[in-house]
Amino acid sequence: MAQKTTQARQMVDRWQIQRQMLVDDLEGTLHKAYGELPNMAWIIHKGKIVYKASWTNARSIESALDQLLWENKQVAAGANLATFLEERQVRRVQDRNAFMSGLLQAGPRAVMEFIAAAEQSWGAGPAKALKDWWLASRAD
Amino acid sequence: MSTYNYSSFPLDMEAEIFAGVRDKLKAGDRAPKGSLVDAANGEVVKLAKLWKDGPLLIEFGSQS
Repeated sequence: MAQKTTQARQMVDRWQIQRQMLVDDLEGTLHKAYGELPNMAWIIHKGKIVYKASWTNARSIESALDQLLWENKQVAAGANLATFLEERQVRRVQDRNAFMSGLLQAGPRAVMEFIAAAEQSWGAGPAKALKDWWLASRAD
Repeated sequence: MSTYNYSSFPLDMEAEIFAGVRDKLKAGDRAPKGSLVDAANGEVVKLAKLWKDGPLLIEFGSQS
């Protein structure tokens, strides 16, 4: 566990992360409880899930937080709010070079998790080149 | 590095983990509770305590 915590501190330093960095246990108990994908984002409000994303994206999160702020203002103004469920599929700008650079810096586990997720999300074909390259580089 | 993180390596992650992610935990569900360790000071932090003070954003990531 000390090793994992040290890795987390290094991640904070490397990426100059300003947010609180919390470390899961060695079995990944909370990671598993929250979907287990490599880069998910969640927003919890009053103990309930109000936002779930299979990929962390600042623009999407900003939109969700804006909604929460708007709701809070409405409540403060005495409005009566009704709950409804919204589900969207959205797209993000993909900078492959920057992403791969970050992924490689994140280390072997992050790379393997991404490959596994890519295989399951897109099929084995699109992920094959990355997987072959990665396994070959590990064999060197 | 051999002791880092899970007991098994990610390539053995099962397909159903990904297939079920859409239905596993949904908006409107109660958020799973649990404890984590603050990397800055080693203190144990309860998720429920964090969301008690206001909306809580959780982003998952890893480094190995």
